[in-house]
Amino acid sequence: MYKRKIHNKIQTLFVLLVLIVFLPTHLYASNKDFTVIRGKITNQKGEVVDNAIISIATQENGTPLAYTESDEKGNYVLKFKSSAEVLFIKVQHLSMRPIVKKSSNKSQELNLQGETTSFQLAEVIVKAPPIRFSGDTTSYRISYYTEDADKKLADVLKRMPGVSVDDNGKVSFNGREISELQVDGLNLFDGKYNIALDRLKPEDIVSVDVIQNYQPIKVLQKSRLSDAVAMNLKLSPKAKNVLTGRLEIGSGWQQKTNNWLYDGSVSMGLFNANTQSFLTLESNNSGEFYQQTYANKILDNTEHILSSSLPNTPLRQKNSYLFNKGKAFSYHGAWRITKEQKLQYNITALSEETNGSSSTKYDYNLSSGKLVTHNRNLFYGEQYKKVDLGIVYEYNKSNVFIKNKFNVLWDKDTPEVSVVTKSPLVENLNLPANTIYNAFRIIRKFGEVRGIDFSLNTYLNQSNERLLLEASPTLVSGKAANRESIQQSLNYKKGYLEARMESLSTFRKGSLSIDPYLFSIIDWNTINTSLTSNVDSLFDVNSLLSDRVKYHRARIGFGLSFQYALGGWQMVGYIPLLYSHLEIEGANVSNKKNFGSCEPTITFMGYLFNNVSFKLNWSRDNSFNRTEDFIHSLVAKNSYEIERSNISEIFKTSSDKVSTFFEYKNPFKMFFGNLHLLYQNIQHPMIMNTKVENSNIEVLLEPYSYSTRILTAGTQVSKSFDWKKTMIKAGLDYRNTNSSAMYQSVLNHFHIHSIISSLRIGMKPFEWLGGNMQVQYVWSKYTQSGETNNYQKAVLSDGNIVLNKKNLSLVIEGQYYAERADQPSDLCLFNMMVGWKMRNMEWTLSLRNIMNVSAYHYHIVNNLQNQINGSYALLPRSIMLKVMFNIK
Amino acid sequence: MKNLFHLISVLLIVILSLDATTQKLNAQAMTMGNEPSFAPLNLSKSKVIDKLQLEVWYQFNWKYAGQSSIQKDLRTIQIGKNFIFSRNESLYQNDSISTSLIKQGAKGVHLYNKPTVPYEVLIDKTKKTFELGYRVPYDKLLIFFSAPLPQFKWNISKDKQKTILGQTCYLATTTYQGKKFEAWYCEELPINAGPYYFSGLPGLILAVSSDDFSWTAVGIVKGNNRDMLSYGRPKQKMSKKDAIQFIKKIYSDPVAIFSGLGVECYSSANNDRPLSSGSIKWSIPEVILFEQ
Repeated sequence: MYKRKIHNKIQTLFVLLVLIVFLPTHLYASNKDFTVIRGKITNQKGEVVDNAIISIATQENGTPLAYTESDEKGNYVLKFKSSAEVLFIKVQHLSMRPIVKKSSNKSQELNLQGETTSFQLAEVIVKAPPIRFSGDTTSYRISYYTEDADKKLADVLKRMPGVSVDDNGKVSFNGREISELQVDGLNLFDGKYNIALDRLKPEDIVSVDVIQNYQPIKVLQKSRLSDAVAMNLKLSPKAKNVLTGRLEIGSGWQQKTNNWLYDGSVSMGLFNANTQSFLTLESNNSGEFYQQTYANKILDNTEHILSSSLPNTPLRQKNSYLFNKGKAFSYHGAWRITKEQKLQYNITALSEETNGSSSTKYDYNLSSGKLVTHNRNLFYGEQYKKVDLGIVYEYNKSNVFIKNKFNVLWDKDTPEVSVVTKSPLVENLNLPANTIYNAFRIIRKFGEVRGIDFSLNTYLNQSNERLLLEASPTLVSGKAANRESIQQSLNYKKGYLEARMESLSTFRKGSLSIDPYLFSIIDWNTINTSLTSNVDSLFDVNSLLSDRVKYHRARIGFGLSFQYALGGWQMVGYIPLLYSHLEIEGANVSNKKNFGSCEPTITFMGYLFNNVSFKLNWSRDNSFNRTEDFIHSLVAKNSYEIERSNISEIFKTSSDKVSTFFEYKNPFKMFFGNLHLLYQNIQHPMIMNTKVENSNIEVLLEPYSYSTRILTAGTQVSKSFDWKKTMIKAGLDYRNTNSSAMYQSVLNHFHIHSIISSLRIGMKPFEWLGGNMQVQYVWSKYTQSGETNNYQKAVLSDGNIVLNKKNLSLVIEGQYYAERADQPSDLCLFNMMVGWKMRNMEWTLSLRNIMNVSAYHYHIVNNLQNQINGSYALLPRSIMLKVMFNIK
Repeated sequence: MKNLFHLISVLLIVILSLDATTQKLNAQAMTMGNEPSFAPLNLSKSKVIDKLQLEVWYQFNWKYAGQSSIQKDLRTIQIGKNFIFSRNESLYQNDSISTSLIKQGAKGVHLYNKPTVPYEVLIDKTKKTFELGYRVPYDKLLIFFSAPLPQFKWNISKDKQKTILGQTCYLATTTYQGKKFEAWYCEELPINAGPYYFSGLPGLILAVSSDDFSWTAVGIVKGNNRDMLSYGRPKQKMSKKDAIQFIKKIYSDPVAIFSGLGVECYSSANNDRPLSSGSIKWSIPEVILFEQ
């Protein structure tokens, strides 16, 4: 037994000995053909680099013999067989410059150190769907909608289903106007987003994101619903961190006038992660209009009391009938100071001179059966100058929000009209105005949703309107001092201070939230008018020629705002109780009045079906007289219109509005649509009595109670198809107005039905051929109690055909306008552009008004008493050669 | 017995998680078409699992079993440091829209009813495992199985090159589960990742193809350190065999499965009378059968 144990132990020892002796030999033999390289990957700071790809090859860029990834400690092991003497080890990582190390073919430990770098990847988005949806955001891939001939972003937006850009540059998404247009998340252009639409290069944009239910204020994101729509232009990585833009120079010639034309512009942008700058500088005399592009949407809407009779036609392209010379400069900057703080600043300067001529015949049927005809042949010109400056600071955190927006605007509009009537008059109007606007808002949140929202807005405006009417020295002989002249001056000062404080989520139970708010608005207005004339016979000797009106208003209110969700429905409302104190003091009027009122706004919103949202809104609004309603003296508005008022009472105009809005959005079928209905009932306490005299029109404002009921209904649908890149947009708007007008002191009840239908089709049947067409049909019917109906029908269409072959492009644009009334008229205009693209530049030869059409005739039926037949002189044929350089 | 237990437990979860808002009249009735429809997932509950390094879009071409026509899907692969997630972009967009609509108070949200393969892949790079999941039609439930990441034996031929999205790609071939695959990878994008759960090449795989299905990259965007999210949802882990069998059963006779759970099924074409078992059969994508 013992011997056996000894034997077993000896046997075990023998086996172990054999193993000890032969195993390393065996292992050596089995690893003899393999090379094992192991090591660690670190960066220059000594930090380990994980997930790096390490490969080994016999040539520097050869097929790898083996490859592996470094682990979380940066370690790697490569095991391979190769007879090569020299090997190349390559280490690659997204955050590191590649390392290539030459090494001998032997097992070894090889630690490698790399240099950290930011990952450079040219972001590419190819073949992605044209429209993507993510929550409230609809993203349009811009390259899908861009055509080679597109120079403006606005042209591309017009092709996107659901997006529309109207003739005034207003952008809407599914029937709702956008509240702001951002560039990569920054509101660079503030209210002047038309600069982005007209001057940003479409190729610098990757996608256009439309954000619905946009609530940018973080404090309110959990407590306040928003139905605002914002648009964000996502920049291409190629347009970031480099100077990008365009330089254009062009020269040409206009037939008949023999004018040499020029057009030059520079637009440059620099977009970084935290700063954005965009500069434009341009000048032309070739008809490119700047006013709309550089319009400040908040402050440019200053209304003037004196106004000239400048033409306005249905023709879309103003430069077909107005000669224009302009200069513009703008600089917009945005700085993301920290994640929460933003600063936006801008300055714009603009000067424009516009000229044109028209000949108009106004037929007035007087109630006595007499027909009075006014022929007005106008040579008009307008000089418009403005400088505006804006600074916006924003601090946006989850518990506090501060925003201050400051704007200063100086503008001067000087229209000049030569009116050739019985006695030729030259009308010089000077409308300078200065405006200062500041809006401050602070919201402080205490706890999850409770907080205080306070805002203070200030507005100051001062304008000195001057009108000089005098016989033209070229048309009337005699010394200047003896010429007939009328001078009207009007000095208007107005301002307001508005304060509002709201408590957030004061009472909250379930989905019901009720918040009280306090607000006050104080506004003060002063108008001084004076009219001097050396034409004694022109006015009644008893007429007042000067006046002074002071009108001050104070409104204080307490209100409740509420939000309530029931099932899939939400109700949002504001119920303010208002106390208003108004004082009017003038040379001919003195009055004080107090009013109490309730002006609620209540909205129901929800979803009817999966893709259809519904909104029902009711609101009541009261407004009081305007300051100009109390001017008892004569005011010569222009060469043929005189206004005065017979109002001494402070009146309230009340308006009730009920509106519904249905929105349809089908993400997968690229189909958008909306339907809106609005009923409005307005109770007016005053009426305009229009009296037509032999050569003048006198408008008298007098007390009279009447009502206006307006029903409007509209629908828009748009769909895009992959087939031939087809896009269809259709719209239909109906308006039914029931109201009254006073004419020659006789009250007339009238009824107007009008329909505007539009259809826009875009298609690209072949890679080398594309086109767009838009047709608008206008129909209106005017009925006056017991009188014949008056119809007006008009068709306006425009479109283009784009041909591309390699670097060559040809664009043919056409406009057609036809009216069917008592005097039918037609108009057909053609423009053509030939482009030649080179690497960084493009030549364009454009021909405008190829057919050399000289005039455009039109007919407007205002009402049974007033019909207009007129014609505008169109600009003659012109040619221009332009070269455009891409700045990059 | 184990399989039966699994099937019953999954069916119970299905009935509990059926989205009442998507049904015809109430939770016990549903309308079915000739294609399976997929209920949207509410994305409001999410947690951060990683930071995004890259997001790659692939066009996924696939066929129904026994059919020759090619269907197209858009897939998004989110690549993080530790995880790679592959999602169906159309279903994600539908989820995203529905989440927004629900937030605004929408009562009903739309089902996605276009041909699609409702698969999702989550790769755990640290553990070297992957989860392949399938959305159950008309439901929020995801059934999935987990497995170690396959060690593909790739044959690289660097002499064969192709440009995809402007990046030079090299050819690599392999045979996996009896099918030959051809992949094009890009060394300039040094990430061990690809569509589905294809990996193991010294660069990002920008295209993979076999006879019945293929993925081709159509877009790449940088992650910019954005959060990579995982959304809260009902999930059921099963064995690979059970998961595929369950999906096959639902596709071959959906009425039998849902009727067995007490849900009345109606046809979208004619909803007068409830459907009987066997009256609807959905074609199953070949890529699902590939896993069996």
